[in-house]
Amino acid sequence: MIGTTLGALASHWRRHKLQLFALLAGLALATGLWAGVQAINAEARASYDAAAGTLGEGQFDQIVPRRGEIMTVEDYITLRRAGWRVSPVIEGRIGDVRVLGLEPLTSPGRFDIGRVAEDSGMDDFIGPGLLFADAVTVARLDTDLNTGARVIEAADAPPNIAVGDIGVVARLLGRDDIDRLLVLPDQPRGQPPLAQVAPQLRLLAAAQTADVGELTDSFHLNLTAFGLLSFAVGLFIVHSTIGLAFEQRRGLIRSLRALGVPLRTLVSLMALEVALLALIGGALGVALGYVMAAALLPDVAGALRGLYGAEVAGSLSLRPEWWVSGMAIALLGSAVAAGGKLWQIARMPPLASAQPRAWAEAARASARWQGVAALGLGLVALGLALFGTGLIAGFVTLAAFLIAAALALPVIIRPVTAFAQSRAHSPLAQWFWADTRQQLPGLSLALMALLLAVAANIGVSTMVSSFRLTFTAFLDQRLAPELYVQIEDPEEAARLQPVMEAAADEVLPLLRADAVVAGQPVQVLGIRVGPTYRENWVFLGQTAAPWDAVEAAEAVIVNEQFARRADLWVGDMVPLDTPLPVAAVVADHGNPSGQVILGDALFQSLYPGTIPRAFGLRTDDITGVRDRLRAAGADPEAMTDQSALKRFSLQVFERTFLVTGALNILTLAVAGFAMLMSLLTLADQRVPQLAPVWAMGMTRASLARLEVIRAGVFAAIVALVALPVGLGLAWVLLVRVNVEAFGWRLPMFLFPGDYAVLGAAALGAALLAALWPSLRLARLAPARLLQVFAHER
Amino acid sequence: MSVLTLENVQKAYPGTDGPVPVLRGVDLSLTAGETLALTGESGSGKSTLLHVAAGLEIADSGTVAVGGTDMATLNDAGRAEVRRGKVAVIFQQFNLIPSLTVGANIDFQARLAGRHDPARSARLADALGLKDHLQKYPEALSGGQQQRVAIARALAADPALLLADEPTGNLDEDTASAVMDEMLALVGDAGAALLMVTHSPLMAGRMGRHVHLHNGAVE
Repeated sequence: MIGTTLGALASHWRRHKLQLFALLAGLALATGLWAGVQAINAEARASYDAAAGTLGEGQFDQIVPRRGEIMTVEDYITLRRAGWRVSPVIEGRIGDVRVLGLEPLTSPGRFDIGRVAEDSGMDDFIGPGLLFADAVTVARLDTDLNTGARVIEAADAPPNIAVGDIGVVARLLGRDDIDRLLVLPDQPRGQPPLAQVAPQLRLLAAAQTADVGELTDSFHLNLTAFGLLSFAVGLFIVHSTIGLAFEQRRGLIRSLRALGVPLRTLVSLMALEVALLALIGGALGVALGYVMAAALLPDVAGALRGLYGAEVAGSLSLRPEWWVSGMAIALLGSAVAAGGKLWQIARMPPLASAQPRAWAEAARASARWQGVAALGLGLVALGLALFGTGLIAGFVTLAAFLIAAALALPVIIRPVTAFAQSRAHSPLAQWFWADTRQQLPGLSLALMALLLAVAANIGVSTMVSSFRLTFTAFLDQRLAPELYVQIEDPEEAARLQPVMEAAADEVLPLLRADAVVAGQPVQVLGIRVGPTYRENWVFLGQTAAPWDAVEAAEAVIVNEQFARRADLWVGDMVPLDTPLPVAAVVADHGNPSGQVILGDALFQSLYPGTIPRAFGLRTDDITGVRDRLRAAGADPEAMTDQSALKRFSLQVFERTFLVTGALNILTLAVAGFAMLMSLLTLADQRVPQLAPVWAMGMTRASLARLEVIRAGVFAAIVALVALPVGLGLAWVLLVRVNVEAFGWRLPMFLFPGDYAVLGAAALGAALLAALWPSLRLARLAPARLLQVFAHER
Repeated sequence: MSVLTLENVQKAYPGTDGPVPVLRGVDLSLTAGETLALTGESGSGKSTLLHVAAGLEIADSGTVAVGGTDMATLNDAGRAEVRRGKVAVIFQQFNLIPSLTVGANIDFQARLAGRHDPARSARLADALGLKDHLQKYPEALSGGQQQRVAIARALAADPALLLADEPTGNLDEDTASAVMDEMLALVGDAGAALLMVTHSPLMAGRMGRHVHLHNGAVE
């Protein structure tokens, strides 16, 4: 019985191959977008872990040479003899592969060269030119770079890095010095201070070398949110095709039950069928996700390298964490899509399952439920937007708002078509609007998918463009000095400051100290108030004359991150040694730290003896000032000109959003596909509806034209609804999610031109989607239309 | 031995002004090889009686026994098993499976019941004039041909009880008569009991017994 019933259920798909394709394609696209994003995230995280494990970066204090000095093997030996437990590191590049030399016996990282060498059957890891790297890097070093080194593949090696014994790497790089020493966590008591043992070296605390995993969290959160949104759009295709397949099999279900298939068996077999389809679609999706992630990964890796200096592998591994999550979400999505229909079948009497009225009743009840759910979710979104706190609340607001908008769409379209019908005079126009309303249930899921895609595009493009405008203005404001000079020690400051004062129009020293203020870790900055600050800085909130107050040491300026975290605003007191009021709050995009900005005199009184570590110089003659500083002994690499800094910042910014841009386009394409599949699968059902109109004198071509116009009408309504939804989405992203994730709020700008283009794209996608089914209709054989009457009894 | 027994069967549907009685204490019994015509005006409860007999609907009270099994004592799976094993229903709207070929449709219930006999299916297809249509899908057949497929499917399962709801209602007089001839001959060969709902006095006259249902009760 089970085999026979399964065969009967499967025969539906054999006879409706397009529907099967739509279902599998929907599942594959939904899973693919999700799995692709997860694959990118998993690869990046694995890279951070591998790098942290190998290099110990972000985990251990480091000893490095002071500027102009080098660290030698003798320094290392001296420190060891003095009781310092340190491990030497040397690094360089061969081509663009980072080559890292570690001392295997003392290295605190997880990557154990000795073990890897043993696993690879090597007797000796110090042997001539022996390096270890992942498969891709091995191939690059072997084929491209011709190092002469023998490179062994090691599965857990970090990406784009070849690791070897320090002696081997030193020989390869032709070096005899050491770049840095990793300071092991357990140091013996009573060791002599570093300044005494090796005054030419300095200690860098682990906190100063940030953990890339933490820094990049927001980037990955952004990607995950997109993956989820894309999955939701793809899920509408699945929901639509599964719904249609159940609808078309009403008769089959009735026959099977009448012929003696028990209800429980039938429902179980249908659930099994959905699960099998989900597994097939999910597997295809994982493959698609792999291709997508492999295509996007180089850009993501570039953005992460530019933004955070994080090395991410440029090639992809089939890691279980993303393909398993892809399969799981395909099964879950299908279960959600099919669950309602299976529940409906399970509750219907055997003979009612084939009665259209029973299904229409169920559909009407579901439409009512949909309206109520939309209203409920809308209220939840509103409540959370006004009163919710935390990043999770921000994302729940987004989800509730988007689902509410999608559910409300048919509720909005129905009265619009009813109104149009009431205003129509010609019988054809009246039929068109009535027929349009009749198509709504079949198309509503595809229209919801289109709404989500267009709204997401509007929302994200508004966020990105607002971000770009703000960021550009912010760069102009904050990077006003034409030249920046980094200083290493008080001697250099004393030597260079007079040169700077003489050469530049205005010198802006920047004093810095780390502190905890109002329970928050902050950077306290001391600045020399002058025309540059007064003319360029724009505040989010300020008193009448903030700079005068700061200059007179009567107030401070705080950045937005600190203001929000410490719940302070203009006029509130900042609990320094002598509490001072906030004179202004300044936007500080892209910086995760809180800042309290003081006048230099006040700073010196609070942190006496601090020397400025950076200077901003105002000048029209950048080259001249550079030359004079170089002549006074300044390191050329410590001088950065403003235009290069701006160019670099903007490049990193653009690259960051390249990935979200690509996902945006994919989402819109998926929505267009959803529309096409819905129209194609509905095409067969349309024949009995269109045949009477054809018989009464309409040509097939004019009916086909009306089908295209109908798709255009739907898309236009969707685009109009998507505009406020997209702007709402942008508002939540800018005002809630951004503040929670990054600590600063972005102003929202509107871009009507972009919205018009997106509306046109949605219209174009819908018209394109309607073209194929309409052409099929225009070419439909009259015999097929006549069949409708032949079968009517 | 009684294949179908109905004793004081009552059934009502919910209405706006309270329950609307459809069957009011129907008594009926059918033995193996017997043929019975059930007639009555529209709304008299004929189809409901057929559905109750097949276990597709449950009587509010009274006894419905198929092959000695009281349907009221069975759950959905039990009733389905009775339908699969002992009963075959020929519906007015055929209820063929559109995605299966004519041949697969004919075999379908027999396979469900685990009694598939290819030779029997072939004989039935031949007898009902379907031999040349076995690879076609139902949509390619006329109404009369589809009805013959439904009859062939029911008989291929070799049921003890055949329930037919106006099986010739969609056919012209000549075709209806020919299909009826074939169906009666095949039922006779199989020794099955046949309960047929019909509006046609002509068709009713060809059955062994005739019961008229009026306002939910046997007259």
